[in-house]
Amino acid sequence: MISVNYSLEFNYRIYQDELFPVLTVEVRNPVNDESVEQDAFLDCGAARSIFMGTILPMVGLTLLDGEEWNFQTNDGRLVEARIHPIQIVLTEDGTQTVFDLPLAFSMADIQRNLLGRDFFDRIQVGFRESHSQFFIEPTG
Amino acid sequence: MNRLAQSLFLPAPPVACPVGFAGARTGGVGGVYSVARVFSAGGVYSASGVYSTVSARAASFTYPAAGVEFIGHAVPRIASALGRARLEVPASIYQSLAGEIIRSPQGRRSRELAWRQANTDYLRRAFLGQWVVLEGARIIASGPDPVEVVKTARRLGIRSPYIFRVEGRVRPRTSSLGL
Repeated sequence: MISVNYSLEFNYRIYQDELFPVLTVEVRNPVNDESVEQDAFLDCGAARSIFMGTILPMVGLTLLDGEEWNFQTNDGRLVEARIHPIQIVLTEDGTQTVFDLPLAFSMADIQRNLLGRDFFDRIQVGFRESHSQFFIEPTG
Repeated sequence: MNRLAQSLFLPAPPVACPVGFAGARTGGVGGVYSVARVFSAGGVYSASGVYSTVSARAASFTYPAAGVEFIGHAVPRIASALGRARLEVPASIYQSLAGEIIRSPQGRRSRELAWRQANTDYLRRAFLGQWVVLEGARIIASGPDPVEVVKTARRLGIRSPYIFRVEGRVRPRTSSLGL
C-alpha cells in the first residue's frame, strides 16, 4: 500500500458547463513584482505549462523577448510560445508558496492556461475524479 | 424512485452566504453516473456523492427557494441563491451523500468564483469576450484590452488583480482538450 499525504483539498470548478480541476494562481514578474491572478487548469497530459500570451504585458513583460518554444497539439499542429522566468504564487488556507518557473506564454490566442508536468514537479497533485476533487501538497 | 424522500441539511456556514448546487453530471456509456455537490459561496462545506443510473432522477432535484436552470443534460445550476443550505434528494442518492460532509478549504478567490458561477448568464450578456477584473462581488474594470483593464484595477488599489475573459457557451456535445 502506498500512501501520499496532501494538505489541501479542492473541488472541481464549473467552466463552460463542465467540471474541471482549476487553481487560481498569481503570476508574478520577479523583476518588478507586478502580478495578476489567473485561473489555470491542471493538465497532467501537458509536458509543460502554457499560459495566455496576453498575460505578459499585464505584468510588464514583452512576449517576444522570451526564448522560443513550441507545443504540439493532439492533432499535430504547432503552437508557438515564448518562455519567460516567472514566479508562481499559490495562496491557500493562509499558506503562501512561491516558486520560480520558466513559463511558456502562447503566441496564439489559447482559451485557457494549463499547468502541466513542470508544475506537478513542484507541487504534488492528486486527483479523485469520481468525486470531482483534487489535492495538492507543495513539495518544496 | 423519483419522489423526493429525504432532505439533506448541511451545517450552517459560519458566515451568512448563499448556497448553490455546483453540478450534477452525467456521463459514461451505459452506466450513467452523476456527481452532486452542495457548496456554500464561501466554499466551506460540501457534500458529494457518486451514484449510478440517476440521470433521470437528477432532474427531480428541487430547490424550494431558488430558480434552477438545466443546462445540457441534467446539469442544474442555481439561478438565484438559496436562503439556507438545503438540498432535497431521492432516498437512494441520499444514502451515498450522507456521511460525506467534509470541510473544504476556502480556496483562493472563492468569493469571486462563487460570484462568477452565480452570475454566468449576466456576465455573458454584458461582457462576452471582454476581460473583467473582479474583487469580491464587484466588477472593478472591464474591456477588450486586458492591459488597460489591469491598469485601471491597479489605479483603484488592486495590487494583484484577478482577471478573466468571459467566454461563451461551448457547442452541445463538445468536450475540451488541453490544447
